[in-house]
Amino acid sequence: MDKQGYSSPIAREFAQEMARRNRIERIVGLAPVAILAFLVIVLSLVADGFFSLYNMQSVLSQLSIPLVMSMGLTFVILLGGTDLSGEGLGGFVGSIVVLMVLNTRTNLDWGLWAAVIGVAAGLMVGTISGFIHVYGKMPSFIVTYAMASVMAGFAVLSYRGQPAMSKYEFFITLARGRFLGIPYLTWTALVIFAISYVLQEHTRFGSYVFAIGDNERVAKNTGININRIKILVFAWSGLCIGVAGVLGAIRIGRGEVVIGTGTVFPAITAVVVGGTPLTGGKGGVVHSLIGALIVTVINNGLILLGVNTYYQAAIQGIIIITAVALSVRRGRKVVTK
Amino acid sequence: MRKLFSAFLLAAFAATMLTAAAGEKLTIAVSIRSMSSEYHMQYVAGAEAFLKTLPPGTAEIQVLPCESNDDKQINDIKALLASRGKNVILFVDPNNAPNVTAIAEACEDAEVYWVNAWNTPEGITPFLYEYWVHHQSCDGVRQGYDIAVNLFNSFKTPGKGKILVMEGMLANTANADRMKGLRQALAEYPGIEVLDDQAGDWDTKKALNITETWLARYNDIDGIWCASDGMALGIIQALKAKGLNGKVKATGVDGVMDAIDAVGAGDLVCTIANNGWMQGGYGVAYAYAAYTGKISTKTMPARERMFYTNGFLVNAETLPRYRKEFIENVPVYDYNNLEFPIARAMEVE
Repeated sequence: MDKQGYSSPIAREFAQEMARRNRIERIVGLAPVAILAFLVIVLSLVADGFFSLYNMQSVLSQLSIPLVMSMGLTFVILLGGTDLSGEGLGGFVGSIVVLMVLNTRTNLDWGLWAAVIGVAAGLMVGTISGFIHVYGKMPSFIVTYAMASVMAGFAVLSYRGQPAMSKYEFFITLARGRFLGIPYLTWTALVIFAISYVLQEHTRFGSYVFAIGDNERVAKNTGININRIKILVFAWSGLCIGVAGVLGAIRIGRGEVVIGTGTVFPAITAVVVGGTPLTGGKGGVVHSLIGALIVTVINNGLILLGVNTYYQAAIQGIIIITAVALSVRRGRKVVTK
Repeated sequence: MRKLFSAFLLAAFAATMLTAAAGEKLTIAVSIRSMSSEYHMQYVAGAEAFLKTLPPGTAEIQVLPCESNDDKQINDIKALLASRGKNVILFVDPNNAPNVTAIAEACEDAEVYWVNAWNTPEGITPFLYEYWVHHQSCDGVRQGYDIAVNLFNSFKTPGKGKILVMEGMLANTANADRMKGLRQALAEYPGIEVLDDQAGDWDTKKALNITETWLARYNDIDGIWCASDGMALGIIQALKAKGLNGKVKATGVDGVMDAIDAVGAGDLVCTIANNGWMQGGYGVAYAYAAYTGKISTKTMPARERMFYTNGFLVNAETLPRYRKEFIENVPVYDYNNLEFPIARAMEVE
């Protein structure tokens, strides 16, 4: 045993190597925060109107839907799976919610119950996807992709091609109102974030999700009911998509399938850019919050700079490829460890 | 005896074939971007109105929504042609112009009569094909010009102000035409300054996000020229959140009900109703006439094979008339008069 307490030179070298890798891992883990700070500083300097109260409110307002979607997706991706049902399911929930509140198409006026039913529909569809994925032994991407298509069909059928406009005062207040300068919709998204954080950090469910994502076989051998956890994760993701659908309907004030269109890719980008690799097992909801902020700030900044939206889509694609490439390298280290 | 038996077999076979042919319904297919589009559903309603003029039970409508996916549109049409053979006529609003060639060739191979609306690549016309009966479009250039002029004249100082431009999909002929119209109007109104130009992809949500961000940067906007009603509704939401609806003037095109209501509320300066009922109804009427041999693509006058249809400019002034003609009374057309929808012939370049 040497002075530092190592039993052999090999043990010391191993411990030092592990400490070095942990340091690198921590620095790489902080990279998304540094990127966000860098973006905010640069855009404040070069983009007129970026660093203004109204624009910060716009960014926060635009953050709400990708943040909520990414909260559900984070758990799915932590498992090593994916959930692509958001496009259709979010559109479906948004469509039916507007049809159930005071609106221009139906005579219903169920107030907040409509939102509860919408979120419950999301939860139910997520649970069904989870069941099919687990017991049908089908890859999650194909189950949820198919589910997106099914729900998009139901969404359009629900309003038969003529979308309803919401006349529900409470929704209108939610869409435009603010508390402490932050839009109500963003507060709602932050509540979902807080619940997700508690689920991740302070429940057995959260630790099981990490364990399964890290190594499913080992997790199974320790007695974790893997199937149950997986179904719960997809149910949670469905619930988050349901909430995102309701927020989308409130934001555009209209119930149509486009509420879900184009929402999944930014959410996946947010999760991956934030630092949760597609291989699962590490990362988490705080990372996804940073990722969602990065995605929203980039889109906002590019519009302020007058960059065409097609370049924005291309830039988003490049960002996700880069983030995935980096996360794969990090993933490899975990495997070799 | 053998001859008699053969004749009996032949007669039985012919009777079976005739019965089968008589029982086979004609499929009137309507290929659209999405059933969520109110305007595209007007095509379907127009086709249904035409269907009612046919003997009961002889035809049925099949809607093929492509959900903004080029491949899905082509594949759905090919699958339909493969399963129904020549017993199909087709109305297509191509998702993007390049789809037209693939659809035209598939219909030519299957010998199925079809009509096309809005998008076609430059140089690709019905005159190149026997089964492509006509190409029709609203005059997108005229629409882009008309809404621009209405917008510019609605400013505090008419003809002078700063605008933002919300385009649709860049690869879309309708968008390109409307933008051409805008540019023509801008050339005539030198007092108008364009601050920025973004593509909202015909998407309400995307238009809302873009407008929110615009409002953070520009605080002296007079108007937003917008290429569609769907996007205009997103723009109005963003303006309402900042209390600027009605103050920052906005336009739309398509004439969806919520946009018509927005004109009434003063949130939108104008929109142009494309009259999808007329486009869809007369579109399938032309294809049906070719299918039954009433008209022939070989002898039809050129103006019937490529033409513009008339839209209806809805602004505060014309709104009462539009409500009376199109909302309180459903438009009814005489589908025997195939000249009716032609506003003017399209120039072939």
